[in-house]
Amino acid sequence: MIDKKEVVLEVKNLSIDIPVSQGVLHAVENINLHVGRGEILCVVGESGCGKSLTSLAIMGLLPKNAQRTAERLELNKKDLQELTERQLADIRGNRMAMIFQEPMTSLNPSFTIENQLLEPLLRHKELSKADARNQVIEMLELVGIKPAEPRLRQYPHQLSGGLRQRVMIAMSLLCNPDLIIADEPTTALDVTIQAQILELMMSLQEKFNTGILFITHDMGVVANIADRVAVMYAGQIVEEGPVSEIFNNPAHPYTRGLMGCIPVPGKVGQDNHLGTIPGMVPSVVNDFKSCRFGGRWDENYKENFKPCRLTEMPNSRRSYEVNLNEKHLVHFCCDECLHLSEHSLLEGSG
Amino acid sequence: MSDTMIYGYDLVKEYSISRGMFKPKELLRAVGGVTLQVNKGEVLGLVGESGCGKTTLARLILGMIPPTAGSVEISGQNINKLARLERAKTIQPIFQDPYSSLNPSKTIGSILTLPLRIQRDRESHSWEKRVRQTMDLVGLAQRMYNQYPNQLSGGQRQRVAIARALITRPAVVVCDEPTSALDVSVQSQILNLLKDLREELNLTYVLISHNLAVVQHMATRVAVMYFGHIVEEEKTNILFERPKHEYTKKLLGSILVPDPNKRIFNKKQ
Repeated sequence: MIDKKEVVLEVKNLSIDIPVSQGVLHAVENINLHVGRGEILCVVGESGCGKSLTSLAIMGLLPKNAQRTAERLELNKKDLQELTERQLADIRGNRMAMIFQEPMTSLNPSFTIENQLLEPLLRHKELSKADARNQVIEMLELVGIKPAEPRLRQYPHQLSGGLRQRVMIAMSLLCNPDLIIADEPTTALDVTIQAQILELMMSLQEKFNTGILFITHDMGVVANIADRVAVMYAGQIVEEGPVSEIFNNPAHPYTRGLMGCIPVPGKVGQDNHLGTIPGMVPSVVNDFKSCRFGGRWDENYKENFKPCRLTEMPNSRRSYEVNLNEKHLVHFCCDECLHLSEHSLLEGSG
Repeated sequence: MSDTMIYGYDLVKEYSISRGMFKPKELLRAVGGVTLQVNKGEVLGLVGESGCGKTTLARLILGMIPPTAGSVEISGQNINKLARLERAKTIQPIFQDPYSSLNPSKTIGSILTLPLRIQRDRESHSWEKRVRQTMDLVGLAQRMYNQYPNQLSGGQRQRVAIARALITRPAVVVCDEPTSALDVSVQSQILNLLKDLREELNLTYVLISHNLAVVQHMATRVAVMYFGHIVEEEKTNILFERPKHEYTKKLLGSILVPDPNKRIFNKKQ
């Protein structure tokens, strides 16, 4: 059903390199992703895996020293790489919008809510101020701020965290964008508020048929809202597929490890230990000389499979992708990982 | 097993907040009459939304701030009447953010020796040995003895914080959001460690967290706080199966289970 929908965002072979004193930091390496209209793609991963930089790269908001290369970076079939800064500004906030993690720092403390919400409308749409104001009120009521009028004169610090995030969502939806990039929008909120905000985002997304690229590290959030999931590890997308596939049939050892780490309410008893991923995330500075996931296989894997012994990469830019089925894609960093996991995949399915 | 370790009686903490230069001060009741009892070896989970008084209650239990009314007893002794050094021997905190709770200009070895030095521990020749033993206990490599906090990852720093809390062999450890600044794969390591240590050293924990799954996994008993009061307190499995208070029900209803078959939002197709 989803695959028939038109693609809003298409990213192909996106890499982000940041020069550092020891060499080049490959923050993101050759990732592919796409978001369809009315679809929620969740990008999950641990800190430092490059998920936030990916979102900034799409918005064209990378820090100055970061270099972005991509074979394709298209919003509605329009190449974002060819646009000038001026043209990009016409698209940002209009065709694609962003919701950040901390609503207090992304709202300007010295302007009223009205001021900040009018801005995108006056910048992108040819509206009179009165019409724009009516739209702002309408949108605020849509995100559950009722009555909206008295809120317009308030400043961000007079609102609670949940209300601020609602204002941010209202702002991102004002111009009815095709794509919303949400970078951990509920991480700073309480669980009860988080549930409200997510529910709101989902109902509005359905109403406006917006594509959402949702970045998070919370598997609970992913399971509840995603249509598709992309798992990132050390700058690469290691696995991508429909949410049910990723949760019920994870293929990459990292995804499996990650699933085992989460305390699942009702599933993990008092006496059980949680799963862990041994070792640490490798440094992404300079080219990889060995397997990214080497030494991080969990105990059960070690029994059945030898850990990756590959010491030299045949070609660090080469990718090893396996299509489990039409939509479920697994990406391995080297021959050996691929070989070992194929082994386990066969066993898992048989 | 039923020895009372912590007994807080009718604890109240009020702060006066200024509303402006000439306006009268207003009283904010952060904790409004909380009575709680934690037995030896128990893990009491404290949950509630931000601003409900969880951390203030933890600080009261730690004796870091004096209560406006009421008292806290740790194994029968009033915490505010104990000398500071005595208090530090019985109860220790682990804080949320391992990046700001360690002194960046001191080595791990000296961070971990500091509690012994402050306690004026007589056997100074054994300090290093005990520090190294504690490092083993929490899973820190010995080479880190001479390293600085910035050379360590978040999980390793939290292990340092745990080692520092345990070096004086306290009976009670108050963990204020011990894993909320950490990644999930590191969180699971730290939770497993806290669990092992509790069995090994027969510790009593007060665990504050807004992550209900973590609380369910760790705690033997859970107290739900709402606006400065404990609205419900029950054994963990009973509370999660049959919540009584409306707020608890609301809280449990907003847990997002990491299983796509158990979505709490209904998406129309």
